[in-house]
Amino acid sequence: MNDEQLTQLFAAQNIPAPTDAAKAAALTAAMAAFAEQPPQAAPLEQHATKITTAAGNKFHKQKPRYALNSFAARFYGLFTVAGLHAAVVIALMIGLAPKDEMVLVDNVKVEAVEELKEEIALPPPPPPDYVAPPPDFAPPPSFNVAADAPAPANAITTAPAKAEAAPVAKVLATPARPPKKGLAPPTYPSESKKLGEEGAVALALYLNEEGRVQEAKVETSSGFARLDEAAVKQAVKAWKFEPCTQAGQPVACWYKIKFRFQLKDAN
Amino acid sequence: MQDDATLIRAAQSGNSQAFSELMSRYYTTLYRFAYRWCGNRVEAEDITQQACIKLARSIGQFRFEAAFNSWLYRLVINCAKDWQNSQRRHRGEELLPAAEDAADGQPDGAAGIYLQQVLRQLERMGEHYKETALLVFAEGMSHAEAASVLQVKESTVSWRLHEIRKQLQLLQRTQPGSWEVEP
Repeated sequence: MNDEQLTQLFAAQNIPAPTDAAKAAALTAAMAAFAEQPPQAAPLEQHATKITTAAGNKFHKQKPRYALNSFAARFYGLFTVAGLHAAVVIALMIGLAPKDEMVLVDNVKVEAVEELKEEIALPPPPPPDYVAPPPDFAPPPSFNVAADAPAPANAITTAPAKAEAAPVAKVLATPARPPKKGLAPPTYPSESKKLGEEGAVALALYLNEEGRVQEAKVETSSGFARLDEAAVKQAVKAWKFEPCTQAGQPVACWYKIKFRFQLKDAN
Repeated sequence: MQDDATLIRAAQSGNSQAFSELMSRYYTTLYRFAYRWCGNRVEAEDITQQACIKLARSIGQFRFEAAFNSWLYRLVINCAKDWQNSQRRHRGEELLPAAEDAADGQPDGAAGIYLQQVLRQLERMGEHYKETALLVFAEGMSHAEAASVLQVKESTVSWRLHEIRKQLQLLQRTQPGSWEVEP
């Protein structure tokens, strides 16, 4: 589809006229919002122009207010700076050196440790008949029964099957999705093209956390092994999905998809 | 009849009559774009109303650096996106034009169905593609004009259109329903 066809497609769209009521309501709402706005003192464009002009004409000519344009001002400035430096040096020499502070901090630490030791020694030892509380999690009763009682031979095969079925039944917050750029279709096998083979292959894909196909199974065959094989090969080799997520974290999952081989699509 | 710049300056100074005149002048432009975006008359009217209110609140910020038209399109695109996000939050699914409106607003037969598919594909492609396609193909803007509305480089618009063409060709090629995701 080229640009001209797209333009024609949009041009052919019949857009219904807006209702008068909707237009009136929109205008009323807009006017109400407009009335709430404080009027501008001057349009922004004019304001911007004034700033630009002022900057262009006067920036290099005017001296800033704080310029030191006299000898006295410079002298006072130098004197102030020298005085500040001297004050800092004296302060460091007399009372603000960090040495004493460090000593004080050490004392505090030592005292605190000693107090803590005393506190630890105070509480009596636990009674000898102390029994630890039961754990929060209690296994379901059915599980205990299966473990204790001697089970029939076929019960051994049932228990692991249930344990395996649990993750499959797990609810996924977000299912996997094909990528936004689409999936590249499999190449039509040349032999199938010659023989006119067509059909739909349903695939079950096991996607890892990255969305890549780790395993592909043919759920429903197209009736032609060549077509099934082409779909599986393409799925494993080239497809990458947006992975399933659970609580925001990508997880591996199964995903079903069907591809229909039709000879009019064949390259 | 006063030109846009005079009306805008008057509106910025608080002249409500000038603002009302501006609104009347551009209401249909805003509505038309909103309709193309959502494909539904009632929703388009809501989006347009939001755009009008936004315009009232922000007309003082227009600095005459870009065309007023471009600024308006940007406004209505933002309102349409806000609407789309709120709809997604409520429905939790992909947005598609309502079926009853599709019969009213879209071209008949295969062209109508295909237009819906095109819009759906544009939404799937992610942010920015739909607005770029609508500005260029539906509103007839040049790449430079669309770039000015979207505040991106002209080359970005060209690249997006190139991607759109590629995706639509793929859509056309696989149209007989090759892919079916099973429930």
